[in-house]
Amino acid sequence: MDRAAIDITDGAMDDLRALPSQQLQRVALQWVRRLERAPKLGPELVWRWGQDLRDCRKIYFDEGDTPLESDFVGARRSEERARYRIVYRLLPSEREPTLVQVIAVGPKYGDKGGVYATAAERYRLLLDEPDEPDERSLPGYEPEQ
Amino acid sequence: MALMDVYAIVYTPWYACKMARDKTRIHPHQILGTRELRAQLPQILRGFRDAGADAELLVGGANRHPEVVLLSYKSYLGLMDELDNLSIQALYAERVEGQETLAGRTLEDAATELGFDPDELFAKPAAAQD
Repeated sequence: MDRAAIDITDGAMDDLRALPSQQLQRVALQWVRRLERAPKLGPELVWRWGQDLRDCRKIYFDEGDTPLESDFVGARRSEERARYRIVYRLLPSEREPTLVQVIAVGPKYGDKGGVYATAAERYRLLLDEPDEPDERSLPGYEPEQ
Repeated sequence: MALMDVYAIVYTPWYACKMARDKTRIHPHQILGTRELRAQLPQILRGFRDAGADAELLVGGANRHPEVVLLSYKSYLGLMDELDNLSIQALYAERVEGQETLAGRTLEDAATELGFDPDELFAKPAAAQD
């Protein structure tokens, strides 16, 4: 399989910047790198508590991970208490993904709901985004009189 | 047959069976006293072990006041996963409202933006080279 392209959304970029250590940033980016060749590495998410992330997947990670080592276990179990998550989706389809879009990165638990609440809101916005730009935002637009 | 005879024949054995059964049953959400908790701990653990994530929780405490909740470790992990998905979105709503374009960047660009050298960051460890 060809490598999937990676798309890190602005929100996910903000999340990466907000990670508490450079080591966490390093590990997160390295996990995303693995997704290029194995987009379906992360377990699928489900609908829970009003958060619809059914088309998304998650990667568990923490500071001690070495994702680029070939023998590192790909899909960590939550029982291992990895504190952080990467939430992403596959485009154009789960079946034949060519793009990995990273939606949110951050701690599983947080003061304001953690990474899944953030991801759910962003995902909703992504789905709501119009395919075509609003004509009113185009240069030269003049409202009809 | 006198009423007391019926009582003796029917009720007494039924009551004895009921008490025997109740002694061995762990009632979900029943509040157990500390003495009962101590006495039934092996049985409780066995129940948790057998039922796993499906085990009902138990409540206990001194004088049968609810002070502690016992649940199986698998139930606990399941509960944590549920909490995982609780929706409190106020902070995020503040952050995204009208500000984020949701337009992305490549992994290499993200790495560079965060101050990493992509070649170094994504170099496979020597032992893991393809």
